[in-house]
Amino acid sequence: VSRRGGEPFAVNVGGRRATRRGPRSRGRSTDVFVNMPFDKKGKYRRLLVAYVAGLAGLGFRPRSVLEVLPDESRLNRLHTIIAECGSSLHDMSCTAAKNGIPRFNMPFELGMLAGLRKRFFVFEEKHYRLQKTLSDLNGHDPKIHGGKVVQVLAGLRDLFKARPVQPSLKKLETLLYKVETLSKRIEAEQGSIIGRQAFEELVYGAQQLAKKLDLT
Amino acid sequence: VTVGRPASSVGTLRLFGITPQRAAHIDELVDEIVDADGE
Repeated sequence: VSRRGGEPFAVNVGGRRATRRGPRSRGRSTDVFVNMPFDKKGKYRRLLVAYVAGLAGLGFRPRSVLEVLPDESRLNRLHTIIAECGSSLHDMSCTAAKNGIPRFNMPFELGMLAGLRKRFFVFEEKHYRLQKTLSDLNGHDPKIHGGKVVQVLAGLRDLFKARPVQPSLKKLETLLYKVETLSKRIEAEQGSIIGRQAFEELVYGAQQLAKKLDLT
Repeated sequence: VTVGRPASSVGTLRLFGITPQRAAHIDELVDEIVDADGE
């Protein structure tokens, strides 16, 4: 395996490594599209911070639909962001309807990535549930996080390889603790981390914290 | 002033959707957080 430029890379669950710019991933391999539910408080807020911290700690850059401005064509902008990403991760743990209305954005965005034959990784909260909610993905083993941020970090660490040295789970947890503190500061200023500016500031800050901790 | 990760082989830095002033502010917050924990 050649090591080019000390940049991190993603691996498939099956073990085949992604090249930096393979034929199926014309985007930057260090940009990772994060497809997940968003809420201002609660479980998915914690999980979002964990995905951001974990990816930043491994040398990757989280991207999100949160970057899409309300006045832009969401689908066109999604295409642009996804094209810029080398891989994606999809948290498919939200299966409940909100106020009786189910949300289809996450499976739709997963379908977009799958259709482009980009590398994608799936996270779920519960074992075996994906086989029922999205049987088209049978054969793809999701990472099970159980709603726990440390399991998110462990899953990311399995899937995304940092160069030259893979940080320990303990170091990623230390980074997460600090990114969580940063997220509260950003939230205090902007009311929420669910928004374009807040998300991009969180990603930028997480990357800076990772550097300060000598992770990247 | 640009911030963020290298975006291309020519060495330009991709500007996030945040202003340089906000980036400087986040840098300050990051320093505070690191210093507060004695890292």
